[in-house]
Amino acid sequence: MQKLSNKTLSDINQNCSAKIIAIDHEEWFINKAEALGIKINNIITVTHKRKKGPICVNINTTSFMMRLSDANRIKVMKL
Amino acid sequence: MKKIALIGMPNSGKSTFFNSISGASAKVANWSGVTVDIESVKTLIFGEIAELIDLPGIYTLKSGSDDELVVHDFLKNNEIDEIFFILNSSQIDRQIDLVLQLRNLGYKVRLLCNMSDEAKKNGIEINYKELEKRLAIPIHPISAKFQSGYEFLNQRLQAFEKKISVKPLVQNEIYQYVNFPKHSNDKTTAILDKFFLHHLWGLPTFIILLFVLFQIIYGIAEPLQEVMGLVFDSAGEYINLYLNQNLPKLFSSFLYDGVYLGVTTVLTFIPVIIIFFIVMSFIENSGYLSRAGFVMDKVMEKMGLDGRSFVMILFGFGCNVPALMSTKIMRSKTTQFLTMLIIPFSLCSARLQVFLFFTAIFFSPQMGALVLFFMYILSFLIIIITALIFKDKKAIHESVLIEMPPYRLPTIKQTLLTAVHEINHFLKRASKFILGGVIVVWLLTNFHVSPNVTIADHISSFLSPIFDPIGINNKLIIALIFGFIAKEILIGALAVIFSSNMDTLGEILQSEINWQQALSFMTFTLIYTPCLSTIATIKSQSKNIRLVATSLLWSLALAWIVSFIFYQLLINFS
Ligand SMILES: Nc1nc2c(ncn2[C@@H]2O[C@H](COP(=O)(O)OP(=O)(O)O)[C@@H](O)[C@H]2O)c(=O)[nH]1
Repeated sequence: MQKLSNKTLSDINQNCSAKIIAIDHEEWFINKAEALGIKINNIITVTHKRKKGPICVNINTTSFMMRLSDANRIKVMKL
Repeated sequence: MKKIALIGMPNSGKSTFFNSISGASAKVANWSGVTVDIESVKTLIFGEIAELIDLPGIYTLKSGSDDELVVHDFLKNNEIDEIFFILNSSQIDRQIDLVLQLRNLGYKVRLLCNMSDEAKKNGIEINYKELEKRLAIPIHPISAKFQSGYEFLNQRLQAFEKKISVKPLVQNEIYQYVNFPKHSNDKTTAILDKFFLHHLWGLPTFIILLFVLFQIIYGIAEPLQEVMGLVFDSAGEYINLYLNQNLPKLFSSFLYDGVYLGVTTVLTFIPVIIIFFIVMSFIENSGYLSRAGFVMDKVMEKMGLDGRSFVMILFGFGCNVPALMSTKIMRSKTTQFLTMLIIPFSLCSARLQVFLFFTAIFFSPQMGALVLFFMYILSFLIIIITALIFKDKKAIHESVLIEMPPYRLPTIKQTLLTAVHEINHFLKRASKFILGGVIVVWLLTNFHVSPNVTIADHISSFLSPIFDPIGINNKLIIALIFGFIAKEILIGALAVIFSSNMDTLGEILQSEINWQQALSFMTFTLIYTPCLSTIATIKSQSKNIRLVATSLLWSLALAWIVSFIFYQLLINFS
């Protein structure tokens, strides 16, 4: 078992994957994210990054874009 | 009559399905408990006429977003007989929970597994029979894009299982019924994304693409618009002559100057809207719009907007109306309203005509080009300033979670259906409002308070203390009142007001006003309310009178302030 880290989704490099361990956000966001597959224990892959800009992520068969401020609120464990 | 509600997550192909069934016959009706427009269509389903109701896309039943609230309120306040739940088969694993939730609330749910073509291509196998048994709901694989799998709609209704609730699916249970390939088969999307989302090439590619599309839209639409204008003009001459000979003057003027001119002005919008929507629906359906949103998001975030707003504002430079209509895909009301507030400041082609006319009269060709360029810059500046002033301070870091669908090649049929749908939408909602507006302007300019003084004259002399400091005289004020209908008729209105014909209008204008006044008039024309069609569209899209009022008042106030600054600077320092 890896040690719990303080990493957030925004720390993950392009083309790297991570496991979601917590989503610290407003309820509506958590609900929507969950419906899109962004929920605890799922593996998320960062597919594109823009400098200080949004990131593009992939879970299972779905891709979405997310702002950095939101990615900052998703705690992950690097794989 | 049976009522069937169409429910599904965003991007599951709900609109494609609804458009393919309704064509141009969708209607907006009132439903209790909801204030937004909900479209529905009456059509033959299961051998009887039923009403299919298109509800907004939702992610959950918990009322989080505005759209979710609408669906929630709709279901609470209206009796419905059945739900068609439409989902994207490739994402069945994450969309299925919502289906069961609805079923267990007691609704008769029928599951339409859409995009079955794509799922098959991606190597996804669904065991429909077993899943049907497990969920105790009828399931139909369909493809809305290719309109296949619709046969079930023609069958007599199958009996529904009793309303016993079924156990929710436990985690990963769905994978007993659905087989996903180990690796995604969709290599095309990954490759295209490497290019379109690239941190260096992404932006230039986007700009070039937009430029090309823009050229296509207006390269085709403008000549069409001109031809239609010419046809209406020459037909109008005959109609006018006929009316004049056979009807009392006031009545024939009402029919011609009011109704005919108003209606035909609206009609000339149609080519632009059709072509715009063909292109827009292509960009959206191909999956590129959300990529453009990604590329532009960082800049637009500072203005309280999201990346997709940029595309819409830019299209507003062609015509504000379709640009405003396309904001409906934005799911955040704050962002949508702000985008709608700034689009009318995009220098549309109708205003360009006025500016071309004025610059040709008042400036040398070199100077004229410079003035024109300046107008475009001014338009951009006003957009930025308005966004900065009106942006929701909280929205700066507004969360954005936008799905990036795979790239798809839209079919021609699908694209045309969308265009037809939108035109229908525009005509139905805007026409009454526009006709009303035209009639009001006709009354203002034709009804006399005393001999030789119309209501408009009265208003313009009443307003002249306000317009004097910006160099706009009484006659120009009346032209501005006409300009409310549409900027296209401004020049024509000037000709009537200055009692000249088109050929001599230039000379007359030159003798009546100076270039500073002309520039002030152009500035005012750029910023104040673009046209009735725009206001009608803002009203029908937003259902928010406050937004309409803000748009009107802010644009008028800003138009005055900017014109004042320019005019005073010009007359004092030149
Ligand atoms: N391959 C495929 N694509 C589809 C199908 N139905 C819809 N689409 C595409 O899916 C995207 C989203 O569809 P849309 O109707 O706008 O989704 P909505 O958000 O649910 O209204 C569009 O690009 C459609 O062209 C289908 O049956 N097969």
